[in-house]
Amino acid sequence: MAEKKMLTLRTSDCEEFEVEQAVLMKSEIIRFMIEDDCADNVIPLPNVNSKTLALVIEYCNKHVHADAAETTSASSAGGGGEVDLKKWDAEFVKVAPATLFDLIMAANYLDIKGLQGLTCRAVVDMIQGKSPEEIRKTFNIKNDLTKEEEEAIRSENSWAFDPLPVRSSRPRWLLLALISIASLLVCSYLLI
Amino acid sequence: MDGLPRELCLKIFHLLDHQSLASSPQVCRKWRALTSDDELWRKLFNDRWGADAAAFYAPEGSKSWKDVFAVQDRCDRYGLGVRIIREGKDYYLIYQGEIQRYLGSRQDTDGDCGEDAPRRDAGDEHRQISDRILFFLGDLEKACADAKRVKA
Repeated sequence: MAEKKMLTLRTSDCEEFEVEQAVLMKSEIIRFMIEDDCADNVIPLPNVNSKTLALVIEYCNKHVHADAAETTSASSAGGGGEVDLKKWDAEFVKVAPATLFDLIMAANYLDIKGLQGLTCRAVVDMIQGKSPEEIRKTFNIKNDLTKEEEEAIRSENSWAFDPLPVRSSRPRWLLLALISIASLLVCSYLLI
Repeated sequence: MDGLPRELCLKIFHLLDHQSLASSPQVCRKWRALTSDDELWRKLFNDRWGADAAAFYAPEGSKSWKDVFAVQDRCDRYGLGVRIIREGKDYYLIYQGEIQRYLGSRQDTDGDCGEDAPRRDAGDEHRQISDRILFFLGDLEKACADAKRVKA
């Protein structure tokens, strides 16, 4: 059996990780380095710390092996592997927001498309459907807006929170009748 | 989210729906600046109404993509005709999704009913009545929309 080619990565906090070359092909940056024969020695990653890199490697490992398993069992029926991988991904991003942001930065720096999408989506899920107060609590953000500014923003964006598209099927004559009644009321008031 | 560079923050905001994007500016000043990014609203417009509509309705002058999005959203909701609508506590006259005139606020008319309220002249009183009629029509429009939504 052929020996697996290994590469060494050095993090910003000077820890070294020895990883299979095949696993690192998930990163476009490292893939280009490998293809251009620039990945002989240690690859320095000054923008990634060891805790984050460990998670990135875990993600790449899982996905590379899942892809390999899918290829070998392509003939067998069912997409169970894909469901399992989705479950694994969902569990993988159940981390503190700070860790998630580190992962987003690392995925962006290493250009790992799948991880970028997964982590950004996880942050979106943390924002969507929450009130500004809940968002502040989730991400530990200090509110630096004045009450007046908040009120101005709220009224400026109130259009977005109206009930969604409803085409009025109410007959035109009903609206005209209402306007006529209103006009009569005004006239009678003025005459009194 | 403070540590994330602007382009990564925008990448995240690009995935939000328009309602989340509209409430996000209330989080903090940084988010307010990020969510007013024109490209963000252009993409959102594109996703919802397509590239042809985006090319046709592209903003002119001082208008932003957010303004264009809001107008198109109103057109979807109320049609192109003349309507009196209520957004929050404020009432507007709209035509083809564009706000033509601000008609006033509930607070303006409800606030001065006490004994200490200043005396108004006849013209002022007539305007008050017409305002109430307009507000009633705005409320009626909203109530009908809500009722339809409940039925559906």
